[in-house]
Amino acid sequence: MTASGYLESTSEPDSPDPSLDSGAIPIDERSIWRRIPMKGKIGGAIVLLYVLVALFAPVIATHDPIEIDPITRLASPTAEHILGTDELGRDIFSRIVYATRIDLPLGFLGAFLPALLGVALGAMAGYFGGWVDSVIMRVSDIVQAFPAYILIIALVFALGQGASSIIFAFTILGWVAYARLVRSEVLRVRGLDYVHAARVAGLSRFRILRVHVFPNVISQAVVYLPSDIVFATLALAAFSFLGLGIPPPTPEWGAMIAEGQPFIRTNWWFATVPGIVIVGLGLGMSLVGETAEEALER
Amino acid sequence: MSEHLLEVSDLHVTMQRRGLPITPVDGVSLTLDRGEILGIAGESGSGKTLTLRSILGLLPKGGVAEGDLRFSNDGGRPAPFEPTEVHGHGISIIFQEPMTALNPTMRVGDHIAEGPRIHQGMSKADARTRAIELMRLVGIPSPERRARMWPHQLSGGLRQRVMIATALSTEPKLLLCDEPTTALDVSVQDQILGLLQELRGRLEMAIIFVSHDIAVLGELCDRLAIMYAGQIVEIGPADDVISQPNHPYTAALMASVPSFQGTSEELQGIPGHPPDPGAFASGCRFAPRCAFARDDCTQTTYELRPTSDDRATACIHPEVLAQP
Repeated sequence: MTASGYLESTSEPDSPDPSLDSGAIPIDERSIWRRIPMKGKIGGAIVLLYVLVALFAPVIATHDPIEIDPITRLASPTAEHILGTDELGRDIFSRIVYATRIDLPLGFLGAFLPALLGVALGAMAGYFGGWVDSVIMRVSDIVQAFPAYILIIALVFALGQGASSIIFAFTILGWVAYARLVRSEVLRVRGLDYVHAARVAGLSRFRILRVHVFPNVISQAVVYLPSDIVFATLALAAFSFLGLGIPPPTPEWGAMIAEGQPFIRTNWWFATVPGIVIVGLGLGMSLVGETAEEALER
Repeated sequence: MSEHLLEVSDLHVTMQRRGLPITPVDGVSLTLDRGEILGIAGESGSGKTLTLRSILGLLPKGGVAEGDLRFSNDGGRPAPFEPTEVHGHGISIIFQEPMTALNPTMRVGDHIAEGPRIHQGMSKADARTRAIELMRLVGIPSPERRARMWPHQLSGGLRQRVMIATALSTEPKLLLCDEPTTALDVSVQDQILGLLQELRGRLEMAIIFVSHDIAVLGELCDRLAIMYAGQIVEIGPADDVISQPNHPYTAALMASVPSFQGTSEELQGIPGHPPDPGAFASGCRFAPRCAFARDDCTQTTYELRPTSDDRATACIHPEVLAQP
């Protein structure tokens, strides 16, 4: 970062000399779209598709997702039921569409709430240090000492089946990673000269934390978020598959895979399509996360 | 002008290293007049940066500063102060690394405007105008456009100017400079030195400039203090100290600096290593490396002894240097 080409020109404040701008990146808002790599665009498009499906589920679905029809049980795909029907004669396509309204928000919340808690606790631990730091980090050690899935199962059993129990269990477990990430970043940034400079400028501790520390530690946590959403979505599906997630008859992808499993030889699409749908969301989120990570490294 | 701006007496900085206390700054005393530029020179680890930072309470974790520090913001008699009292009121600092001294998530104009907004209660628009004024003052071309840029879009020299503008935004009477030109290439370094000198004249602002670069200090400073092993070994008008050292360490330091005029004099290093702050020699700390050391050099206690009205040295045998 030398200043090659920079020459004194105080007498001529608005010098048009182009060499003055050597190394400067032109600010062109349109170029941001062009700077996103292809995989980021694909990932974004996939995630956007899922969001749209969730928003417009009633329009997209062809049937009521929980309406039982004993006459057309386990039907093969037809024009009427494009992905056939399940054991109780419910339209599989419509159930997959409606399940987006369960899995997507729960996946987001299951990653977002732990992130919120973890960032707050990690920032406190790093900035205040001392006993605050000790208490928060020892609690995180305790949480990490348990096998994650077993702890979630135990919590869900204790609290009773349902979306709120699952999110609660995810939050209890998931904050640890964010807290550690943000704490180490705060420790790094706290020793940088711009934080010293802010102190010397006489700014309040709260302002320094908000304006000079926080924006510079949050990026790591934000980059971690998409991959955590993938984890939360998969975990939700896994617990529903095991019968610990969303109680029936609410449509949920993991539960649908479990319901379709006995019929895998005759009606393979029953369990397979919800599985592909989960993989698709995971792929989209991973691409977004990877793009964000690479953008941060640059 | 009889009252000093800053008085530092018997400053000690103690730190913990692997459980043992060390004293990297050990009894520094100095005074500074209004509008004066004082240079502090020394090797790495001589305590010059810690001396500077303890004035503002910016010591690394575990560092404790003790001593009598007095500062006068209003021209009266210097009074003791807490570091937080002069933050934003009277003393500012600029750092070595322009990369880490600016918040990467703030546009540089907002960075400069922050001080005026907080301390002078300016509106957003007024603070912005003030930031642009300050940018013009420190010689940043087309400041209106650059105020909207991010630090990474600026060159090292421009970033250093932004840092100076930020430091000036609180209208300090004293600007501390922690090797601000070390990370810059020589031509930019020269511009920054010129700028500091110009600002001193225009704003009647005193400067303490810490550097290991004698050439830079000689060009910029009115007075020069040489630090060795946590102590000031010599202090006096910069030109006199450089041309006629009164301490063997200063002399050795000058002999190790290439001169532009000299034809082919061989550069002379100083034999040995700077002492470890955990194990300072008793007596004169430079004695083990000093070419002129005598028996009584290891017996003496540290004291800056005046040799003339405006000069002082810690050497008990400064006459050895007078011999041809």
